[in-house]
Formats: sequence, C-alpha cells, structure tokens
Amino acid sequence: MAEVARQKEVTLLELLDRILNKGVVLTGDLVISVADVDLIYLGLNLVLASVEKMHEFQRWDL
Amino acid sequence: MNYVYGIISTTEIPQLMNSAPGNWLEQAADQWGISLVQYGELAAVVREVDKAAVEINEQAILHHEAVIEFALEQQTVLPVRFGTVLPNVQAVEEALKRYYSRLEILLRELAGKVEMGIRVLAPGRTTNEESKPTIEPGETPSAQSALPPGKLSGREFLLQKYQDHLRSKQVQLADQDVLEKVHSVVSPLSVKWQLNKNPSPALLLSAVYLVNNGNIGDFQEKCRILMEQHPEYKILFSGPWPPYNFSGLR
Repeated sequence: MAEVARQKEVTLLELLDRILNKGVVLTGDLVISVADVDLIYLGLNLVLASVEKMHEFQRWDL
Repeated sequence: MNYVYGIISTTEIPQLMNSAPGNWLEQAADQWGISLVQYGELAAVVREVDKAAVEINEQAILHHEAVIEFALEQQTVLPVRFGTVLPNVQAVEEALKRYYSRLEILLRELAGKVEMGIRVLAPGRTTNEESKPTIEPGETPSAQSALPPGKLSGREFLLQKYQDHLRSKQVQLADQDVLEKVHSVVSPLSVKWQLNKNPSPALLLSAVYLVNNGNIGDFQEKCRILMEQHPEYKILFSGPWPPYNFSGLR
C-alpha cells in the first residue's frame, strides 16, 4: 500500500509539474478582469511554491 | 465564463463519428458538461463555469487531466494550461483566431504523439558531498602520522584532496555514461526531446520525449530494462502524457 501511495504522489507531482507549468497559454491580454487574473495567478504561484518544497523533500527520498 | 481544457482540430472529428463507441464529445458532454467552441478548423474543449477563480486542489487537477486524456484517446489534443478561464465564447474564439496558424502547426506536429518523461536520480547525493571530510576529526589519516590526532600534514592533506578529486571524477564519468546510455536507448524511439541535465545534485536528468503512439510500448520496455541494468541509480519514467512540454506557442 505504501508503494502504491508513493507512486500516486509521484504521479501527482509529475502531473502538477506539467499542468501548472506547461501547455498552451491562451490568456495573454484576454483577461477576465485584472483582479480575477491576479487572483488566479496568485493562487498558482502559491501552489508552485509549495510543490517545489514537496519536491525537495520527496524527490530524493524515493 | 469558459474553462478551457485543450485545443483540437475539427477536421479529425468526422472520422471519429464513424468510430465505435461513437462520438467522444457526446460522452464528455454527458459526463462533464464539456462542449466545443469552434473557429475555422480549430475548436477549444470548454466547460461553462460561473466564476473565474479556479480552485486549486487535487480533484480539480485530476479532473483537468482526465478530460484531456479522455480526448487524447480519440484524437490529437493541445493541452491548455490548468486554470485558463476566458470570459465568454467570443473570447475563446478570439484566442483561437489570434493563435490560429501556430495552433494549427502544433496540432499537425503533435498528431499521433504523446509525451514520455524520464528522471534519473542519484539517491543520497547531496550538494556538499565533495567537501565532506574523508577523515573524521580526531582521526589520523595513517598509522605512521606523527602529528596530533585530527591534524594532517601538508602531504596528507594534498593526497586526500587528490583522492577526493579522483573519486568525484569517477562519479561524474559514471553519471555521464548512464545519462548517455539512457538517451541513446530512448531517443531512437522519439521524435523530439528536451533534456535538462543536472538540475540539482541528486537529480541528474529530467527529460521529456515526444513519442509516436506506436512506440509507447517499446519506450516503456526500454525504460524497464534500463532500470534493471542500473539499480545504483533511480530511473523513473512516466507517461504517456498529453504533450504538455511540446505545446508551447512559439
């Protein structure tokens, strides 16, 4: 079970790395409103910061 | 408001209509409320949402991926970055119009291909490994040393440095060999790749390969063999993924 859980975590990290950092970016200046976009990107930045931390702890402990 | 998952080519849709078990879009519409916004021969896979701020949690992330992977099973999809919300259908059409030619080229380039990921790790490797003393404090380097415990003569100090250097060089060469081997084994099965070597002391390689659907099985098999051949390293492979790393608009 521990191995399955670990594999799931690794898969989720691999997925996060892709869907938050890569892929087609359509937004550009097609903004909903400045405030809303700021909210979205603030959220993403916070997640990225914590994901990087998770990577640091987890990556080398596999 | 429209949450955008991915971009597809509408020219592929008629072929799919004839394929069992039917039109995937109908299934996706029933299951997730997905619809298409078309512009020319392109279409964005979207879902109507009532707010712009996307909740970031495991469920939302897995849902985004599930929709793209579902579509990818049927046809080529350019995955759009998580959290992309456009205010209305016109804004989606405008985005398709603006990037039309580049999206079309990307769709052609990525047709029938997926992304595979490989990471090569050196477990236990740390940043200050090279500077670690090989002789512990209070320990003499040799029985013959006449110096007090913990002190090294100039000759012994230099000898130790030289031995450390040789060890480090051997490790570097072994790392280089394994990275070259990994790449030489999987690159013939790939169309394109992006290699990020030594992004950190313990992560020797983070690479992504663009692979034709027909080569996925071989790619995975080669990776399994590499893992068995190099137990001293941790070789992780993942995929098939939608081609996130190859979908950047240039």
